[in-house]
Amino acid sequence: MASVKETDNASGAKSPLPPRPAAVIDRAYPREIPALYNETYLRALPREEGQFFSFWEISAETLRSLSKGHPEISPKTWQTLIRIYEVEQRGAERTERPVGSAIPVGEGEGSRYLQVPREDREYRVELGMQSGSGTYAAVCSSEDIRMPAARVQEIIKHPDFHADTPALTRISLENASAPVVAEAGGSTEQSSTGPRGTVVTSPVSPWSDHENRS
Amino acid sequence: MKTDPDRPSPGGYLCLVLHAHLPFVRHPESDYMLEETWFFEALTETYLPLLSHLSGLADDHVPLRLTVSLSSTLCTMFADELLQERYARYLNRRIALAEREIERTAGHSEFSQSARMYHDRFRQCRRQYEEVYGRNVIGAFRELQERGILEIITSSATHAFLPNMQQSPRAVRAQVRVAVDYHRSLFGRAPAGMWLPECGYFPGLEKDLYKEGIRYFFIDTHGVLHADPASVYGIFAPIVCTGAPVAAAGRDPESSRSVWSADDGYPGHPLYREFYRDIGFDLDIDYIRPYIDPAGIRVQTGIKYYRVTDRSDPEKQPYRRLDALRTAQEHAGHFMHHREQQIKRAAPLMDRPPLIVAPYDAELFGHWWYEGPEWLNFLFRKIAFEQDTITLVTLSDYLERHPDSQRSEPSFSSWGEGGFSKMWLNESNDWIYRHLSRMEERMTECAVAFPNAAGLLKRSLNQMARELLLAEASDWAFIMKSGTMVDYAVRRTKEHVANFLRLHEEVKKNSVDENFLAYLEFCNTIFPDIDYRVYGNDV
Repeated sequence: MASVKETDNASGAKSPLPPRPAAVIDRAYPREIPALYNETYLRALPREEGQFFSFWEISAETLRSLSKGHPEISPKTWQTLIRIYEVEQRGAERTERPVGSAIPVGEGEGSRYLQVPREDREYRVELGMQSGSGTYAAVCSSEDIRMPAARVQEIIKHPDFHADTPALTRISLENASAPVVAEAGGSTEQSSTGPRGTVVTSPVSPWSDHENRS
Repeated sequence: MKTDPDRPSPGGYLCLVLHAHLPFVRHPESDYMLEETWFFEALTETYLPLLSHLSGLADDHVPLRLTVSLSSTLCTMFADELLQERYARYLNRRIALAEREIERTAGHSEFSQSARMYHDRFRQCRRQYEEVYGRNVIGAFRELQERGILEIITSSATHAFLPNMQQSPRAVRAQVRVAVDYHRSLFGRAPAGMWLPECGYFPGLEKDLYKEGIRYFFIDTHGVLHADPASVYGIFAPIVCTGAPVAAAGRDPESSRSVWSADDGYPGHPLYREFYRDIGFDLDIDYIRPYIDPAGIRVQTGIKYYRVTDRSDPEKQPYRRLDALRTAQEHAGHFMHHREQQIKRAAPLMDRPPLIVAPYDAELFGHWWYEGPEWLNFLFRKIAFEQDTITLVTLSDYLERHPDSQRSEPSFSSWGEGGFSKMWLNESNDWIYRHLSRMEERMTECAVAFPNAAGLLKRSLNQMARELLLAEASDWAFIMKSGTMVDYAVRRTKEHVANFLRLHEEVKKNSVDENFLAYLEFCNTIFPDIDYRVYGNDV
């Protein structure tokens, strides 16, 4: 086995340590982090084909501004709402369609998992305030989010590449569902049991199992 | 080393990928930290055995091409002097324990054989680590790349799950750029490919990858099958993203299942070593105390005497190494045969040889599946000498041979539970994203506000960048969901958030506590050459 010592250079061999500080702080010193930040923001993260996770906050300053701009939305009567819009962009033209009804947000609520009806579409989430009389003021909005596709697209023949796409797609999916049984003694027969048509997507991380059972 | 040019045209290609990664765990403030043993165990059971087999294959001139992804956090730990010293002590303690075990098991031949096997293995690791590599594991990987059998690629800087960061484009860019820069500093060249952590892809990510010179990545099966337009070749060829000319290769589920599946995959075979019967838990506490956590907490020692055993047998049976190795050889043949069959099924349907992409976590081989490194060794030799259908390639090799690929947009996907984000976004861990988003915004604001920082300010901003990157590691969210070592993962996340926020406050007030900063620099040493401006305007 060739030795690598002689060919070693500084790259990768040693990482010089910074000097030890004058006072090493006890690692147990409090690591408090704020629950909230008193800032106004709204974020949305796609989770699966029909669901995303949204979290938000409205700062005190934003609420004050809102009160000044919309005196009819009294802090005592306003209702925080979430609105979801399906977004369609065709060139320069952008259209938005509301999805379902506005969703009331409870006091102190700062996040929620939200459902959307269609996979492989873009959505935007908006947080707003509404008075008892129905006056609505938008407070903040998420970026557009793209929900994942959950199915094979319609087969499209490509002029430059020649293949039996439906058969290859079928083989790709069948591969996923055929369990492999390897017996002692070297049998190479595949089992025909097991679910068909599903895509295997979840390998078990060795570290999670290792720690789960220790 | 390319495959034999005299070999007839292949029926198809097999691209094996090993992704090696551990989160950055380094605790200079403590003499012992349980979580550091993750690294020591992986070195002993996975990385050193893999290197040993790969070197043997290269020495025997076995034609071989293998892709290895080495994450930046893992490389940092490889290169860290403190961890190197601690690993040397770990090995010495394991050798001492194995010597005691040889004495203790002298009256039981099957256990005694295993005890000697572990003793030999630990001593071999020590010789390899100290004498052959001079503790330079990165150099060992680098040499194998220079000998032509490996293509080494990188992953995102701290293994962040990028789809959950897509609302923070600069943070995504930083994860990619910092990783590429660090890889270049270690291996003397930029990586051609990137392992997306957890195969986590979202549409548009390819633009950041392309800007940093990445030419390919791997995604899960449905990322390709659900691409738009539909992938002409299914998963048997990569597609090139419409957003930027970066190739995306989809994981083959059949080859994946045969190795990963806990129920019917190879590692669960009755003759293989049982992972969960470790003497750290089986033996008397007073006997094992000198070799485990000093606080007396039982931990894995790596010495295990039992095999998986038939499910019908209520008791675990002693491990027999030769039987296990014979089984590994048979399983290597089984795997090879089924890849041949796959290629023969797909090839007539295509106008180019089919490609099978088989990626795995490297740590599966050796740590979880003890015989895994030997299985790989058998597999590579069988492919080289016992068949003519499969040619081993890296994705760079494939793209060189087949530069024209279909343009298509892959779908948002991951290889985690459910196929999308839910493993890293659920009630156990969703609380972290509020903090990460605030940190990412603050980091960007500071990078833009201070484009030419120097001295203490620059050090502070660079350390803020390190704390942010460390907080973004997907490992913490994963551990919170899987329910193992949750306290540690929560603590690490909160630490990095708190460190960042405190530094940020001090920077804003222009009163940085140099003692606190020095402490963080001493502990969180990752990316020594980081430049905080990676979060700023395009540089």
